[in-house]
Amino acid sequence: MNNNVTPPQIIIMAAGAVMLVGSFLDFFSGTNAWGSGALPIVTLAAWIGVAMAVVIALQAFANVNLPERVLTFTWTQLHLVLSIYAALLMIGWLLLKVPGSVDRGAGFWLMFLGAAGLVVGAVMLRNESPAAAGPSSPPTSF
Amino acid sequence: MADNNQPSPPDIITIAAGAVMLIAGFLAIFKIPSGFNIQTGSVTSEGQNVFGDLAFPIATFVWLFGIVAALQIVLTTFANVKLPERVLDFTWSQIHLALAGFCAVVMVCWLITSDLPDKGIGFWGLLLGSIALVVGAVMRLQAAPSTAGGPTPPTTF
Repeated sequence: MNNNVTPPQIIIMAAGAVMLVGSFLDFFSGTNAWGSGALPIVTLAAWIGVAMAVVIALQAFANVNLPERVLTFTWTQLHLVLSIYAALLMIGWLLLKVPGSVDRGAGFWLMFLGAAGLVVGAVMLRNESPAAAGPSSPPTSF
Repeated sequence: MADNNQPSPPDIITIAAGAVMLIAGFLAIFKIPSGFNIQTGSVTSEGQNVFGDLAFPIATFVWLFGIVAALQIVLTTFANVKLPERVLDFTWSQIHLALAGFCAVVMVCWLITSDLPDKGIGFWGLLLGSIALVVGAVMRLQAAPSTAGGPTPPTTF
């Protein structure tokens, strides 16, 4: 078991957990992210957060050997792309014009916070990865 | 015109997808019931494009990403514009796949979400364009495995 869990990994796992919890609370008044009219377009952001957290947990705690690259993306790149997806979706739901009688609930704000956390974690992960030093630099040994 | 002004099949697919999405963005994405026509006895509806209340800004992101992907190809292929090889460690092939992935995932999720207003021709255009973007991006990625980049060599497929 690898106990060297880094701060960005902790942030991503926490953000994923927050998004999962948030998805079960009110997103808009009276409906959560799993409700009719919301699944899967609203739930998508939570799925992304959970998927990122699960990948990090598998790598950090279960020593699962995942392929180094997925469709040419490194895992660091993939986390960055997925976190941007989640953030864009949540910004989209924030800017969506809703009728006056509809409020955004705690679930929305938790998922929004979680998406922001995912971006912070993914950027930190990228900054501490050897690839961030530039494509021309040689890989460092671990 | 430069020597490299011959678009490859993935380039053509991406440009066509972007063009379809550009047009689709101005057509009705969702049809919102707006009233009842007594003479015909039918419900009238009002179309909302990517800037409509129900579609903005998530459908607008999809629309913009399609245009950006096509524009990048047009600029580099036909206008000979030199863009940086990488943006934030990402090659352009990867950026195309990331943009296409977002568009396709969002459009498919919208497609299978229940209890939404009727979908208009613009919705189907965006969906079709998004799928074509993915096809173009995957073809481009397969055509240029050496552009995978990064500290480790790309794996063989």
